[in-house]
Amino acid sequence: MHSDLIDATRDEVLRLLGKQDELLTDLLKVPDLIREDSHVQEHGTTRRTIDNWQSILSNEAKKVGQLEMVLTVLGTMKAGKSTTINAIVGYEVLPNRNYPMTTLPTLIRHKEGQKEPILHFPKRVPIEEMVDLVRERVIALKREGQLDSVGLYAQEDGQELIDKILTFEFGNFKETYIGQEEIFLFLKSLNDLMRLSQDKNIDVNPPLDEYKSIIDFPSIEVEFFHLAQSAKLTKGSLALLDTPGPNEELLGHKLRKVLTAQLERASAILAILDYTQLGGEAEGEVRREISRQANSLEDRSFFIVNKFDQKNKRGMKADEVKRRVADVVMGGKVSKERVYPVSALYGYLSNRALRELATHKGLPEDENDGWVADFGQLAMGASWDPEDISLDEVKVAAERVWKSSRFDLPITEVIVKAANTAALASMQSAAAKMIENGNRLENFLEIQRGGLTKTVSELRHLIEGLAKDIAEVEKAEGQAENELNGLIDNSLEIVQLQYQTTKEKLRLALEGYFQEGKKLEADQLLERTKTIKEKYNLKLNQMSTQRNRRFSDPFANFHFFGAEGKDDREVQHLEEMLDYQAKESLDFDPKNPKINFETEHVAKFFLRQINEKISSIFSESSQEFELALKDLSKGLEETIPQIIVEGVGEILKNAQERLKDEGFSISFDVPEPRFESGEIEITELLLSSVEDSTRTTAIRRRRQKSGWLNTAKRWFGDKFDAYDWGYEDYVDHQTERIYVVDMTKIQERVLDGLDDSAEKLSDSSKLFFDTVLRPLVDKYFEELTNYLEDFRSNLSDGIDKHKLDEQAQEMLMQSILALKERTELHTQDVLAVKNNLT
Amino acid sequence: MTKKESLSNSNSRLSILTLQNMHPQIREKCIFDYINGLEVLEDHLRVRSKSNEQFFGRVWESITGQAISRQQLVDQNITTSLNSVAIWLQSLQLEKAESDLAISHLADKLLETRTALVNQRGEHKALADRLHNFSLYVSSQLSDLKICLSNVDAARLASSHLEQVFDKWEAGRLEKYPPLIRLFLTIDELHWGNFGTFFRLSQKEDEKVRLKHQLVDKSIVQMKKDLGKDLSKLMLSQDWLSPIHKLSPDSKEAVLYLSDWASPSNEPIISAMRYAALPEQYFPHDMGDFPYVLSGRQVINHMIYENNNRK
Repeated sequence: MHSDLIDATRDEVLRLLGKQDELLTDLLKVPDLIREDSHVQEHGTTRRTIDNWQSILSNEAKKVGQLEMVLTVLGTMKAGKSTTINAIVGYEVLPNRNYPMTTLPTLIRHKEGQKEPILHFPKRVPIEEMVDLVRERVIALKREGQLDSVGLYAQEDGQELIDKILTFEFGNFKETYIGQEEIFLFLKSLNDLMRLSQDKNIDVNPPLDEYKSIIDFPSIEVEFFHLAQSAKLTKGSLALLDTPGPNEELLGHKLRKVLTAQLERASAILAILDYTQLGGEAEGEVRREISRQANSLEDRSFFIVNKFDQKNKRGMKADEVKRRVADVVMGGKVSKERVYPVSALYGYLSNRALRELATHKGLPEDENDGWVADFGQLAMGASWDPEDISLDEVKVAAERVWKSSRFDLPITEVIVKAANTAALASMQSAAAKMIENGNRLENFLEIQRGGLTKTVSELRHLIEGLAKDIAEVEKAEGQAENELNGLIDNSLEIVQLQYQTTKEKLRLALEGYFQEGKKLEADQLLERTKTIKEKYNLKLNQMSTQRNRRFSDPFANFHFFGAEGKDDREVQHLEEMLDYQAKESLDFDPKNPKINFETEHVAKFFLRQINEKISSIFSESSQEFELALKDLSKGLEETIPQIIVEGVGEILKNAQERLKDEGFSISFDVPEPRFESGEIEITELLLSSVEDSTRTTAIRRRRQKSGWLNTAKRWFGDKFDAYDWGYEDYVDHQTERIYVVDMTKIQERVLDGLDDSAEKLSDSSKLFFDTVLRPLVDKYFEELTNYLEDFRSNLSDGIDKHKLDEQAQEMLMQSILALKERTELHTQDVLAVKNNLT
Repeated sequence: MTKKESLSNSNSRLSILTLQNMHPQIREKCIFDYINGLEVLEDHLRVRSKSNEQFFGRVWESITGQAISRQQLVDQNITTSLNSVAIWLQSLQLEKAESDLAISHLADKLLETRTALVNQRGEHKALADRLHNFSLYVSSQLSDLKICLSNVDAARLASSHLEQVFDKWEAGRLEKYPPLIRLFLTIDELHWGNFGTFFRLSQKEDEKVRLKHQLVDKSIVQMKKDLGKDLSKLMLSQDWLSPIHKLSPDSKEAVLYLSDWASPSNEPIISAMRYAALPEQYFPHDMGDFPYVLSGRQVINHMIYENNNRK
């Protein structure tokens, strides 16, 4: 939708909300139409019902009117995410550091007039509880004299943090932090706390589950200087959501889930890429990460290719950059118009300078603010002399730098997109609510109209009919549950199949390695025999040569007598070894699972190969697994509503027909059960089922190498651990050290662990049904029953109206008809708007 | 009168005739307004003046050949002059109304006038008798109408009227008007003719429903052709209204005259259309109840709704 049309449609939605409110107010004014509330009857349309509807409309109007736009910023810290955010704000609101700083998603909200930033941290308790758990661990370590085993303890500020935790100086967070210094300190503390919790000797799980909604995140309010001038911002509020980058993900799966939910609600997404890394190895990783995080959100995504200022003569030009990112990095999924080579650094410095000039009529003294010198150098090079330059010159220079940052265009376009997306989302919600209200209102008025044309006994008959329908609905609920159980069982067969496939791959791989290992062992044996034989032959030759020399050299004899004995012993030893080797060769069993290695490094190398292969299979399988389960979840999201609705469809149809036959033109508009995207999250449920059920937030976890391996281990049980695989060693009768790798044990660890996880799946199925599906089914059927009860109650109200005199009934009928017509027209108007909201 | 004035008057008469030919409801409305113009109060009579007096006058003149008959009646002050009644009656006898609206309104008005005259202590018996005779004639016309409606012909006449009016639109005879006005004029013409009469006086509800659907369908087909796009697509309100500015002064006057019954609170679409046709080019920034965006389908729904509810 075009921007002008979106703005006008938004005004129209607000107008329609007002019209429906007016309609409801007029409804309340009609004498004898709306029943007063009573404690006896729960259902039907009363004054309270109308008040509720009006209150809903008022909330929707606020949301449409407020237009909150959230720009989610993705990317690595190295790519310049913080600098980009600071450039948009025109202030160093996030510290530019060399190490990751974002642990919780942090909102930075534009607030007009707010010159000094303020950070709000509303949901502190879960973090404070985490501090308590960390403290317990630290105290325990201190008691054991093992504090220096904690990695952070080796750093000065790490040690300071730990000491403060011990003395309770650290752990109570404030609701607000005012000014840059306090905010930086807070962010650093939070970050250090998270890093500390991830130390393998501390191992405390951060309470990320508690931070699901955007209102839970820490938020910084500050005026965005340059962009505060944008007209779009006057229509609503703008916030940036800073997210942890992929390499900041110490916190794994749960944080990813939080991020995914936020991304889906984002009005627009800014993905930050590093120009200097284009064409390098990191490109593929960037694509994977962005695709993983922002999959199917390409229509809202904008790609900022930062550090364009570092381009040299041979570097990619702007257009080449756009094409590279659009076609290669993002595989053609985005158009190059959405790719913007920029310099966030230039943007930040120039925007900051302009802000200072506007606010303080000059730039600050440079000793505390290094950015001024950076700006000066950039803007004016060698001729920068802060003592000898006019403010106008500075302003001109700043504007020039801003222009060369190329920042203006993407930000303007992103804000437009964000405004439009936010507008569309709020309008869709408002339209849906108005249609729901409209439908209920039309049905209510139709019942009242029809009721006036029917006799009391006819109405009672209809009421009884609806009661029977409600009883049928209750039966349908039981049937739906049975069907759903069956559906889940079938679905989990797919999971079982995946397990079996993976198991087979592993078995084959282990078999392969086993064969290889045995071949190595056989070759070793041959080699050893060969070596000994060579030694033996050599010895024999030596001895023969010496014997011959003895006969020709009388002095040699003298030596020979002693040496001959020694040689004999050596020969004997070699013969024994040869015998032993012969025996070994005879005894060599290519099927024996134990593989003997002569040297440690060969054994280790062999194990490492197995390890890598197993890891790779697990990694691949878990990716396939996760994708398969995502598809499954999505499929279920579609199928489950169908099953639920199928059961009741016939009942509702009959009820509607019955009413129609009696002259009531009613449309049952029961909302279908809808799931929030990701609500049917089988993956999470399965993960929790394969883990130890006694897991608490303080559980130990091994430091993870990478995200995927982490998931793989969780899927397939972390009973296997590459670092524990080893070999046994012993000394053979020849005092040679032999290193034995027992393939049986490896096989057991890998494959049996897998079987354990697979067995728990049947428990998952029940768990899944109880925790996810049953509440949804219950909710739907409860709503449906209430819906039908409301109809019954409204019919019952119709009986009361027969007590009015003829004239009053006539006037009531006129009012009902007029209101009905207005309502129908209004609903048509709302539908017209709704159908255009894409 | 100068040559220029004479020429101007000729042109003006021509354009009025052209407008009447194109929009026959102008004539009916004019008669209706003429009847309406006489207000009977307790013991005197008053002629209400309306905003479109100039246009009305020109139309009346073209119908009756009497340039200033209503002008004579237009008098902001209360008058007890019976001459007003006599002249009014004279004019009416010259020209017969055809639409039921005019006829039934006339019957009511005649009754009012007679009652008022009788209350003036029967001094003007001759005039009262003339009124009485005329009212008998009018009553019989009304009866005939009602009888006609009770037989099969009425629905057929209504249907035929519907076809005829939409044929005009399809043939491009409304092409100088923007789509919104075309729709308004079409529905307005139906209102004043056999189609509207049928809806007002017939008891055949099923037929009415069928005809209403037919009206909606035909409007959809025609609007789709005119707009050249899907009728479900939203358009900005200025896209609907701004072409109205470009109409000729006469056309604007005609539109203003025909829609003078609309009020902003009850008929927001038609009222906004009126604003856009005002000579001062007043395009309100505050649209009040006019939608900010409107699809072709919505325009049809609203136009029919507003017309149905006109008093």
